[in-house]
Amino acid sequence: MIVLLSGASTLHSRESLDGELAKALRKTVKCERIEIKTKAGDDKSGDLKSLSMKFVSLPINGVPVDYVTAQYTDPKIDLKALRNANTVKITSYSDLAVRMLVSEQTIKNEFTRTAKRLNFHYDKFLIKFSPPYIELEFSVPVSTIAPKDRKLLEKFVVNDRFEGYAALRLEVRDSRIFAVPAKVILNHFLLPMPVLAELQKRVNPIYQLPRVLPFDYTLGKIDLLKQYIFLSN
Amino acid sequence: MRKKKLIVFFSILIVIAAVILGYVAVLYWKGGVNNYEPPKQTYATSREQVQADLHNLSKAVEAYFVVNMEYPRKLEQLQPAFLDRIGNDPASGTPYRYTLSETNGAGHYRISVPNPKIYNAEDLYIEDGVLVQK
Repeated sequence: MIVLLSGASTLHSRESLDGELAKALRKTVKCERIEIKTKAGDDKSGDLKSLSMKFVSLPINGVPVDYVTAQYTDPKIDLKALRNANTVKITSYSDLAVRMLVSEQTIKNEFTRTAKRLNFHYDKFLIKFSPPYIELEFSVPVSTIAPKDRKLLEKFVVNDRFEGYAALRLEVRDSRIFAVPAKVILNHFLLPMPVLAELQKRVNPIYQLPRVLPFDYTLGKIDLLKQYIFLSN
Repeated sequence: MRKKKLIVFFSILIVIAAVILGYVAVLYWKGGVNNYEPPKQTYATSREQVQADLHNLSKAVEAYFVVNMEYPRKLEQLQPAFLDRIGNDPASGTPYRYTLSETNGAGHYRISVPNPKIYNAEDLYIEDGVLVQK
């Protein structure tokens, strides 16, 4: 009976800790939903073995990142700061894994939104995930390309349009995302490698991911999955 | 003598022009709509393919964790959101093995080839994102 009661109390206190952490995080991290999961070690010390935080639809630079998780191993939480100031402070940990998932649909929505905001006109712009490549099919007026980049591609212009296809790989360095064109076809011409290399130099980095506070990390890995871009530290 | 030099010079010019024209023709031929597809992934050996498969499966398992806050119970749960297909070990044609364990409160996953001896290895697996081959 005592064992049962003690087990129930531990479970209750862990659930209450999860709730307190979620409440404190809601103060600083604005997103659709926050979920917390803590796991205690098998020993009797009561120390946490892991702390996982999940953020759903978290806006980063205006882009609603579908899922973000921060997973601490052996975390020590400042309970005083949590209970008195409603602040999450992880005083020490042995490992922190930060992972993000951005869906294909979010990328499409973001493209449409940005194109509208920048008054970027296009007849066709299709985005498709084909791991490990992102495929693009497009038909855009030449005027929508920046003059400095247009010069590089002017030999391929037909009827004042760029129509074609691109297969890109993504790379990430220090939380900056780089596009690596593996194949680009413009107006029926496959772009030769030297032009691709120059294009790669000019357009990169395509995106800078700011840090989600209060976590301390630098994203260094990127992978393309069937429906998601997967980023991790 | 001068005439001979001129012939050689023009011959070289013609060859250069032909090479350039040929190169442009190849770029044009390869730029058709039927070539709107990503470059093919090729692996020199089945060991290379296994390593790529294990890496892809591991990334999908970790992505599953991001969405669900727990690892999948079986690899089939990774379809269709994270992977198109699970695939088999190329050498034996049998499915990859997937195991979940929990040590001291922390979850761990392992994806391994069914018979590592085919690859002259004692062990060939990926555990928590780290490839192990010995």
